Amino acid sequence: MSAVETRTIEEIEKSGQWWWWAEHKRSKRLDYLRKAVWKKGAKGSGYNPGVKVDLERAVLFTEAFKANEADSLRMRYAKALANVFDNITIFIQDNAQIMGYLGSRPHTIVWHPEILFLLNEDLYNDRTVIPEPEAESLALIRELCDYWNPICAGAKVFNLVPPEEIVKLLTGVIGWGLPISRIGYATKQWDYMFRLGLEGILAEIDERIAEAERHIYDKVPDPDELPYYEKLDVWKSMKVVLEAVIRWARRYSRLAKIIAENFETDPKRKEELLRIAEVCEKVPARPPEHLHESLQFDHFIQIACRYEACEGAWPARPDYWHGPFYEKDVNQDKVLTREEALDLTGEFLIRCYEVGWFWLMLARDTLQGITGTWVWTIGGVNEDGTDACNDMTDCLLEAARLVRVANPTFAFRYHPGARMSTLRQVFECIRQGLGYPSMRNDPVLITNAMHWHKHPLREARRWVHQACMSPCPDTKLGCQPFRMANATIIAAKAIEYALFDGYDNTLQMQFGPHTGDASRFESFEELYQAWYTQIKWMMDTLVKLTNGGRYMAQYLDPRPLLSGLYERCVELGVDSSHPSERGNSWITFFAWMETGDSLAAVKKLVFDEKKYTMPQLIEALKANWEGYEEMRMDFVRAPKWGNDDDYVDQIHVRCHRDVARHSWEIKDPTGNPWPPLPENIAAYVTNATKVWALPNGRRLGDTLYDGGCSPGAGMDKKGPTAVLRSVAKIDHIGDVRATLLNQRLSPQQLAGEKGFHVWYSYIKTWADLGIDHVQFNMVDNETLKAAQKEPEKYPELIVRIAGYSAHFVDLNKKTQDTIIARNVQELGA
Amino acid sequence: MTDWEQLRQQWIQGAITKGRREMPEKACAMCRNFRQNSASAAGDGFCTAIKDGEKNKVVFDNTDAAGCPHFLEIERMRTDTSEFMWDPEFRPQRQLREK
Ligand code: SF4
Repeated sequence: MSAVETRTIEEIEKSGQWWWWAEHKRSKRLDYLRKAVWKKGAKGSGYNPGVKVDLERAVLFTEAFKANEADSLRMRYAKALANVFDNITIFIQDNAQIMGYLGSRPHTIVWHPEILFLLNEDLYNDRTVIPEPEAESLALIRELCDYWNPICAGAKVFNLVPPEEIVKLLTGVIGWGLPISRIGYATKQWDYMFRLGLEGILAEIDERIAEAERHIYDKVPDPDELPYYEKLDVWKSMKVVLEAVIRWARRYSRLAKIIAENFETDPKRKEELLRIAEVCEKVPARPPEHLHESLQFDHFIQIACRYEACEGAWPARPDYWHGPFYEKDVNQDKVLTREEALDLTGEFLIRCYEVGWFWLMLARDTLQGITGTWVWTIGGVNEDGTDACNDMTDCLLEAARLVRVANPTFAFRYHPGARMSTLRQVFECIRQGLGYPSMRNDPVLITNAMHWHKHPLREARRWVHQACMSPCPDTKLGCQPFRMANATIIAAKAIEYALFDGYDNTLQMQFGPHTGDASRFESFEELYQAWYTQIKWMMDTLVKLTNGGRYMAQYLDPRPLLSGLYERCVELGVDSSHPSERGNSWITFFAWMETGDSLAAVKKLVFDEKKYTMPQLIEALKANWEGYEEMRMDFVRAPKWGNDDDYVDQIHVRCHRDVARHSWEIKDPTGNPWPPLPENIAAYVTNATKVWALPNGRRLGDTLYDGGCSPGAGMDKKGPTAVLRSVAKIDHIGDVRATLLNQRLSPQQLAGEKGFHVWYSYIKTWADLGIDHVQFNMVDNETLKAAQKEPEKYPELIVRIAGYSAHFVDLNKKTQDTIIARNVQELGA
Repeated sequence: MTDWEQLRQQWIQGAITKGRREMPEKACAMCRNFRQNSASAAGDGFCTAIKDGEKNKVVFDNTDAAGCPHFLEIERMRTDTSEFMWDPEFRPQRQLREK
């Protein structure tokens, strides 16, 4: 931070400027590391000044890929990745204790040219991230683009479905994303990795290989042996890359030792470097036994996987997996002080925050300020149902307040038995304006996981956030290898299509099925059925491609490293994309709550009160409400969600029920349904130009509703209890996989001890009502407006967007304005 | 070849064979009738004013619009290049230089 702070800690606390407080409170080491970090999330859609693309990873990967043409695709990928681990430049930052960096320099973001030709062309045309000397870099990038574009995973996926569907999808008006395993949200199976270490897994693989070879060679020929040829290739490719990860970690060990023995003059740092050398020699090759080792193991694996793929989410439950090591080192053996543990944990968060890669502009725009939705899960219950909160949970929450990173964020699995000391820490994070943890209703979501995907109770209790919202058990059959991101629909388009016979006004082309001229509809039921046909068409279209992409990924886009970290894959000799897990798919519904509000407005003003006719409505919408302002205001004033008004709420409930019913009719490759999950990330802004005018009074370009079940900004007129009552009408087990509720609270009201009790009684009501999620912003408008004016003074001011948090100054003006526009709720009002 | 197939080919080929793009003085990206294909950041898109049969004409953000009679310039909202510098109604993901 640039300005010199002269106030006392008490004065800063009183002012609510917690980012200054953090700077005073954190250790010198954490302060150094926090300030030294390069911010890799995009500012708006462009990268921050100074951030450059790393060409080493792309070159090393391509070199080895080209050199092994005789191998299978998966083996070529394995060897290519191994070449990266063996040769990429590594470095150790001053004061750092946790090693492993994605890229060859601290300011670089990696590029995966094997994923998508569109991404490659985007890089070639980028104006800010090309490293100097520019002409040389551009020539190299061009060469890599020309090599990879025709054979990359994306080019293959484009040909999986009929051209009409892929063209419609790529316009971005009905959904987004492509089912490519290298754009994955992969759950990690820590029980397997921590139990065996990579050497243990390699030993298992060796056994499988020996067994397969016996099957093939030690008996007379028979067709049963044939599948083993493919399995052998899978196991051998896993082996190539797992061994390389161990070598990569040990390169850090050697480097730390060299610096300690030859260059470091500070005896304390020298000792630290020697310890780092020991830790990196040991993990991830062998199981961790101490907190430093478990954190280092975890980080190596996460980074290694991101050398393999753009893992856009970071499913993790760090208190659950690192808690036992904290307990042993800090509480029992006392080999680590609490302060030392806090330093390690704070650095663990910073190391995650600094991860970045070159990413499509669309994704950058939709995830402003961050690289991916890295929501870490904390709290919850153990497999036996007892409280899982531990001292590591508290340590993570405290560390988060000290380092104030926008990524990762936390989501807290709330249950009635959660220990009070941890709840106070949770509240403190929210009160200090981090915007996280978001609160998740653990009993509801455990039952939900059992309902939709038939996860057994003990496994359902092991759930982590697969991305920002959807729960997924991190167990052998629970772990999901990738998100299949194109099953994300812009649900409000179904209303538009129902009103215009499937015609897309934004693109001016026929998109959806013909459901009839809406100006001739004579009943609300006709309109409703047209909408239902359109939304089902959108779900089916996107799921069809996703299923194809998921199934074919094992051949078109295999992931040998991730496969080698999954017990099920090692056991079966299959790629991670082979659909042999239990299945945990969901369809993200962007812009969902406009549906019920729009239908209710038409029902009331056209069919019940008959104030307007359908032809009038269609004309007004066609004109994007221009020239119809008075009429538009009537539609704006029609009943809206969030006010405990059954007229509109029951229409929303009906839409939820019908969509949930259709979810059971469409199956994923494992045979499980595709439940809806309404939420928006920052897409409520970016999709604003894709959704035409709607009967809820919205014009083309007006931002969409920000949550998954949140009322429209400013539409909730009756206070927080009415919001909760509306939201509770949705069945959070049977209607949705999860849904997102944004609330803004006033920082003044939540000050001091009284503030905690006000918040806690709100949480108890929220939980009793069976709502699965709520997240809070607790920064007042004055602060937000001041930060808009003088962003340099508010570098660490964090806000909750929808499903993730970001530093306020990294958002574009329009997104900033939408956060200011959200109603501030007075609890107890 | 069906229309849709043609469209798919145009997009794939277009993106694959394109070099680093120069932006003409007057380009489709600056026109209100342009809709960028949002899965791509490589500039592929549609013109919503001109049709090839039933489908919209495929254009790129850097397609020269100098001679186009349908060109309608978008308004700029802000001029810091981070983004959101265009007419909010038609704000596409178009990376253009500041005015
Ligand atoms: S109207 Fe002309 S300038 Fe505008 S997008 Fe179409 S072709 Fe380009």
